[in-house]
Amino acid sequence: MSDIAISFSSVTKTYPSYHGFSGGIKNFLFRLPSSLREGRNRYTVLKDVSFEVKKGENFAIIGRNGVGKSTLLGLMAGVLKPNRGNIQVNGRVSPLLQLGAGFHPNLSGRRNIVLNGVLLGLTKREVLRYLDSIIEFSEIGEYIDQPVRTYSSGMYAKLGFSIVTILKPEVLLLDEVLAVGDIRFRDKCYAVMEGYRNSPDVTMILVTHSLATVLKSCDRALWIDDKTVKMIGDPNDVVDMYREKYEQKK
Amino acid sequence: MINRKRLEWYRDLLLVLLRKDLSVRYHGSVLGYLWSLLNPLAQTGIYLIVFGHYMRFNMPHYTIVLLSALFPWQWISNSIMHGPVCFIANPTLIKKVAFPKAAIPLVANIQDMIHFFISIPVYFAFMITDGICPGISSIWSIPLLSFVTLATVYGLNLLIGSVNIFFKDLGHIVGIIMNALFFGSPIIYTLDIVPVQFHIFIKMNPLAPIIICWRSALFNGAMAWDYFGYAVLYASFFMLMGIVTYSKVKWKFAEAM
Repeated sequence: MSDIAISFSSVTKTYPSYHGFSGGIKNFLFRLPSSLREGRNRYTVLKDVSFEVKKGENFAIIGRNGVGKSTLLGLMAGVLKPNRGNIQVNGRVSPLLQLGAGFHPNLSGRRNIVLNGVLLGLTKREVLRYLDSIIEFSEIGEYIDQPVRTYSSGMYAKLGFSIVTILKPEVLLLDEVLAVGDIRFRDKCYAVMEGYRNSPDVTMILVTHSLATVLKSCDRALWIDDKTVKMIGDPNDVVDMYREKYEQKK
Repeated sequence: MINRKRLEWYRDLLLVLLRKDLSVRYHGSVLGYLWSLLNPLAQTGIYLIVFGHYMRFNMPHYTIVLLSALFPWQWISNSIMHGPVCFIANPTLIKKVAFPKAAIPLVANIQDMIHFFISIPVYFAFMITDGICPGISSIWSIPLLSFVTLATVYGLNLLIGSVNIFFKDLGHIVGIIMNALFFGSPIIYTLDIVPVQFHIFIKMNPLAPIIICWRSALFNGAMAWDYFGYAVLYASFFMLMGIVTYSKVKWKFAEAM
């Protein structure tokens, strides 16, 4: 059991459907009968999803928009709870579900590093130890003491990525965050991910539409489609099947 | 060992969030922290004119009487009025970052408490100017009442903040109720001018007992123990309700926002 980082066993996740109450009391009263019925209706996003990720793996999740990839990551991060089934995560989760989530626009880059690091589950002391290497990796330079609202989106992204990757992640969750940054920074990111691939201590889960990244940096891939696991295995095979299904329709 | 590190992390989490809130709150305003003093002072000025001069409330040291209840009320009302939005005002923190969300209202309420602490020396300055000596018992009564007040507003925040995610009308209701509770508490008047048969309504008002205790501690230098009992009762009730409600629905926060 100890070599498993994440395990999902028959996980079902549904979301509420918004028709009734959310339209306010007026709509609710006018459509009371249908509102009551819809109130109990929930959209199923994931149905009986089971899989395991081993410790130290670089694991990719692919699929079309809206099939539940981000929901999967949210479940792993503990931000969402499953309606049925069981999820086990061994290790401290470092989610980067959205670039700069938890940043405060009026605080400086430096203070945001500390804020974000502590939100990720590290003590302030630990964050301060890594402060300089984060600043260096992020390439923000002299702007680190400026409020982050003045940053370009690229700088924002670099800082967010630097924080989660440098702060000794155990289970790193990346949601579509690599498409940003200039070529040099992206190469640095790939180098870091390559480093994690060989490290048994860091499990990386990557949600992406960049199939090239999946082939280049991941050990295994999960294709999610129609609310469930369509395929799981070697990235080359999974990407081939995925391409076959959706590229031929052009 | 694990637990000590966990505790250190909880402490750091609160400190970092608190420091963020404190530096962000008055960001860009010239007077900054002074606003948390100017608000109750301006209110006091208004009540002084309306009730002290127009309606000729004949009460010695009316300014100090007002201030001794208005400064704590400022804290209580700021914290409670923020309650409905304490979670929904932070969508990315709720949806994208994994940490105990109960820390968000706690930090906001502690922040209001700190602003209240800043106003205490100002209150004592007014008191001394008016020729009254602050009671020595403040040394222990202020921390004690602060703790009970914090528990009351934090419990209410957990309760209102959690419910408001699913029932957004609550925010509007809270505004009206707070207005009623303000006039229903001995703030612009004192408890002894309220006819005894109405004291039951004062006791039923969940915020009146703590306000009575505050005025008694700050103005009379004594503890109103009978009302302190009610204040502790309300604080425990709201803490319990808040914690139960929050832990029941917190898993739905991210998907409902």
